[in-house]
Amino acid sequence: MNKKWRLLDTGILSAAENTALSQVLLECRREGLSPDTLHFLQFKPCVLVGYHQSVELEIEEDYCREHGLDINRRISGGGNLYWDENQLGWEIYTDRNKPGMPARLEDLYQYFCEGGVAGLKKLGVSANFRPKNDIEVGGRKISGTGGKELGKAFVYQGTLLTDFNVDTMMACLKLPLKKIDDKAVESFRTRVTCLKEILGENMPAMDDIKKAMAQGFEEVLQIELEPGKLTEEEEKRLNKILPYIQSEEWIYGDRKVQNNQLKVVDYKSTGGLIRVSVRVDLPRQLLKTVFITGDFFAYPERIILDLEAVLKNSSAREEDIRKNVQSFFLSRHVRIPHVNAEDFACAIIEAVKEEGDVN
Amino acid sequence: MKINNYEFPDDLLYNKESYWLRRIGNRVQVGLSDYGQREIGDVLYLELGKEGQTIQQGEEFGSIEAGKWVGSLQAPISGTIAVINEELLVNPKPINENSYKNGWLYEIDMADNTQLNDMMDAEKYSRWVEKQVWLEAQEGEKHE
Amino acid sequence: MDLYALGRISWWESQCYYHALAELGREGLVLCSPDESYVCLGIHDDLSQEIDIDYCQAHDINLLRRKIGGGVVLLDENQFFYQVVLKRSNKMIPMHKELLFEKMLQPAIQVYEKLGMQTKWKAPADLVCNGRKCSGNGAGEIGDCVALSGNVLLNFDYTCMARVLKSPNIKYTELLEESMHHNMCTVAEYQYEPVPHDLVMDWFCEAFEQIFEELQPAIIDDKLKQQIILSRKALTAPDWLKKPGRRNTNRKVKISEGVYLHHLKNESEYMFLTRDELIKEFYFLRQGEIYRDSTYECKPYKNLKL
Repeated sequence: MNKKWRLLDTGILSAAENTALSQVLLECRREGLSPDTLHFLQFKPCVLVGYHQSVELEIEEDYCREHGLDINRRISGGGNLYWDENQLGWEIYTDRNKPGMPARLEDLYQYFCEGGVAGLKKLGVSANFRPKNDIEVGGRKISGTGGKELGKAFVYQGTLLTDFNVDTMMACLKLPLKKIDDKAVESFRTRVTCLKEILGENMPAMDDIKKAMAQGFEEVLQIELEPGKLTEEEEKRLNKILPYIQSEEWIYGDRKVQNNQLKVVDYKSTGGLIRVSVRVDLPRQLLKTVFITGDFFAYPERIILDLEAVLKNSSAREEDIRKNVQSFFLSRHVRIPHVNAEDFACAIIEAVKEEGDVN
Repeated sequence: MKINNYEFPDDLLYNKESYWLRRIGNRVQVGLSDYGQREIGDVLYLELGKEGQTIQQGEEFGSIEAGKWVGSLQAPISGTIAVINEELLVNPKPINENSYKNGWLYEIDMADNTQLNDMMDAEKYSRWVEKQVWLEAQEGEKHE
Repeated sequence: MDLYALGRISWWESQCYYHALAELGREGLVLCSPDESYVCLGIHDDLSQEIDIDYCQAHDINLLRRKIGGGVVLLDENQFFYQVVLKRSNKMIPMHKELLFEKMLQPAIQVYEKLGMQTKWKAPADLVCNGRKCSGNGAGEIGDCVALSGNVLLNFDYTCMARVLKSPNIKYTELLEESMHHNMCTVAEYQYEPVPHDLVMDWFCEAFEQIFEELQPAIIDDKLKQQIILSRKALTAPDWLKKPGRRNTNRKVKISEGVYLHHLKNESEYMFLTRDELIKEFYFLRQGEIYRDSTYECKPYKNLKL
């Protein structure tokens, strides 16, 4: 007999309300006051940074203010995100020590992402889990995920891009791109996808998307979802915590000592030009994001996107970059005429060493 | 003590949350054990609490992020935070690469040193880790 | 119920603790593993018939005879023991002694399940997994108590076991080893990674708590320490070891419940494996080689005329 979980759908809320709610639901889960829950959420247009990120380094604040985009911070980790009503958020609240819950984090990510994959399948979309914590369709990211734990309880959060506005996304987030030009926009587009792009006119209404996703999670987690509402205690705590989540103290916090240099390098290999844009935090020796374009031919094309996923938040040390790129090439059937792992490694290393813009 | 390729220095104490403790008089230096740092993964960011902050044994404070997962630090012992390892706020790599030396997280002036009796020595801790590793391997196979 | 969660202890302690408790009239649950190999005879076994003493001496394999039943066993550090001592008056002991095995082997069945092995009790005292023996158990009365002892075979040295057993010829030894492989199994066949003994200990504690409700860590007092030493002396004394036991006309080794390897010599020499009294494999020896003869197979061995 499948365990019963609550299905909670709080509709469209502001960034602060959703963030406050995440914290409240997690605390209540930890204290045993709330049941295991699958939560669907949507946002009024906003940008979010990951818990440890610095707003100043990740968000184009002026643009956000001018265009009425709320700015807030998640309780979970990961990177900056643009949200609007067209995206669906899903969250799982449960405990790490539940029977059947994977013990290792990497298995946990996969476990829940498979729920997302199963839901997408019901919509006719062939998606896959891509380590560390993405869901991709043909190599292009459709969902990002992250989590936060409190005691034995945790929340695992995921996004589902249904229909997104790439221009707004690129304008409000600080991305590893020197210039927002047509080429950059196109390169960025190839890295993400959404349901509208895949299903076109056949894209179902949001309610049907939620239904399919719910079924996917039921299947993989072997649970039975029962629609529910916020409890009295949850409502009470939400009202109490909301002012703090709306405050500058929470949003801007004390995120000291971070670095976010953008560096771009053009590297000439035998097989063509490799252009690498990276965002690095040098003191932290962290390669935050890598963007690889160029006029080489990669078979399959998605291999470059997969390489970027592997290198995201990896070590910026020369020996580690080389090791990571080489082991990626070894583990995949990468076919890029006249371009090899060493070429990519050198290009990225050069980009890291390059004098960059600090912003 | 070495087990399953993990190292657990014999002169330290350990708890089930995989923190190590190094006693320095009435002060204790705290860090993540070799097993603990591997379980968490490559630490990207952390918050260590503040000097002068009082914490209770088992209390969650600060934060630690690896791979988009944010967890809390958990106090192995009650007391007042005397020093935090500020270098880790800039570059947390020592937590993974040098967990017993440069990777120390903070030092705490103990409120009750009898709490150290709750800790495990290296031998006991390594046997505990052996169990966890085996159980995790089983779980890993189930989810393959 | 007093719990003696002893972990890894010396080979002789792994038998002497429960003997000592029984002799003192104290109830207890002992969970342990020996730190090296030894041969353990059952109370009715005959040393000179069963054991190749020269081999044991040459390989420094210790010998001990216990005071409870069950057959000859090779015990070593790859096994985990559970030993229960109950007062004879304890109402948990059923009228039908065999049912004591059924009850007290439930924890082992649960532990095996955690190790991925579906096992069941095969009366009177075996646990089997897919028809193969994975645990041997024995019980008996010692003083005012009843003691039951059993093991989980995390791994097993079939070669050594075959060699310590007295054998009429080398081919019999080889057949013994082969038969054991076919009729027994260990956790190592089901678990790639060696299982931590501490984990097995935890699981046994959880499972036995369901039977005894509460397990209290016991204190090993001086009296018990002294009795353990006395038990060691008694169980390894030469006269005790050499005490005549059950003798067979022809060599016969029990592989598992109902399965035996026989040796018979008249003008010719024969070896045959029986299962539940039926001959399953029949061999004859000629000029140092064995040859299989199916004419005698699938027939009751009691009717065998050679």
